[in-house]
Amino acid sequence: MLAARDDLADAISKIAGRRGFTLFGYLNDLLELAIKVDGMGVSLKEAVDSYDLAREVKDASFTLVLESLLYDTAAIAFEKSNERTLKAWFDAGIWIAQRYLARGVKDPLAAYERELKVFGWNIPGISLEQSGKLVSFRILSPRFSESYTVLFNRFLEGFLDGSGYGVTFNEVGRGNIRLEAVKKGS
Amino acid sequence: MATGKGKKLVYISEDLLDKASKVSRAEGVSLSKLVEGALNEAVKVNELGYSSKQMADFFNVIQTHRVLGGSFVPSDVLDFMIKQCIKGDLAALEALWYDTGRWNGCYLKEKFPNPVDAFHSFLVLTRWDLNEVDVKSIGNDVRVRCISTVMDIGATKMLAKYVEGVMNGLDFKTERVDVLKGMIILKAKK
Repeated sequence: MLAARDDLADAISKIAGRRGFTLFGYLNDLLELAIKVDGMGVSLKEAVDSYDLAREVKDASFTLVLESLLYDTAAIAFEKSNERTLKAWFDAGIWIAQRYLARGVKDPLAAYERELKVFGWNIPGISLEQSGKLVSFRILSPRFSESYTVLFNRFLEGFLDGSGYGVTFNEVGRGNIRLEAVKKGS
Repeated sequence: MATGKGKKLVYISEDLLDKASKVSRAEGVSLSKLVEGALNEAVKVNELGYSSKQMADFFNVIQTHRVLGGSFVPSDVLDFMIKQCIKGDLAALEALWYDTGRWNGCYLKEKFPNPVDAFHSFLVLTRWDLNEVDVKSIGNDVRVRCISTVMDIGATKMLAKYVEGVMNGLDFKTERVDVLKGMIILKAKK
């Protein structure tokens, strides 16, 4: 037997009852889950947090696709219709930023950085620095294709625009994006 | 459940306790803290409206995507790009989705004891643009049904090719596939 905080044990007891489990059964399921996710190299808290975040990403109408498909599809689309594809990515960036704002998120840039750090598995280097009205974005990913880098850069430009920032500096090379922006009207 | 001062004693099976002890040592926390943390997270998961089993499935699928190289993309952008590609070489694009599916099928076959069920979870938990997903094993047959109210015909065709590829990777041969806008019905045989 193990000691657990009174309020937590009561809450779990109620949940177990509602879900048709015994407290013993539910608790043991739970510990099994903790052990399972630990085997995947994360804590239960991290797993639950990323689960919560995944729901937000889902609600923002993102689709999870395989990288190889994404890069190849992006390359073909970019080649077929350069300007329209760039516009589609830019518009998507604006839309995502405005969605954050509409939901009352005070700092959409920080919120997006948080999501990108959890789910941007193809982006090992993400850095966002904010200083007053200036913001600096740095994306590093050796896995990005050349065309995908250009499209993702356009998405970020749209995102900054939708968040109320105007781009002042932009450098794009394969797998490498640097963006600096300043709050509009300042 | 025995009651103490501000604490309650809860029963845990012995084998789990041993495994949990190892985890708590690895994480550098006491066993009580680990259990308390798990209880806290269970309350949170319940508030999100899911069970711990659904969360475990979800996490497994997400981890698989991480290994396979998954990327989040705005749905509108993906649909737009597919439309652009279809205007060009449709056969090449279909081959791309099929081959990726086949590769994924091979991976699922190696990683999961029941790869057909795993593929079902894979679609349910990651293709949020699908309103209904049904992947059923009946004897040597597999039936797949995907319904979406938002997918256009181009995206549906590509997903159908991907599903065919997965089936092939799982050693099934597609016998029949019907594709309509937002609807895929596929039958495959071992």
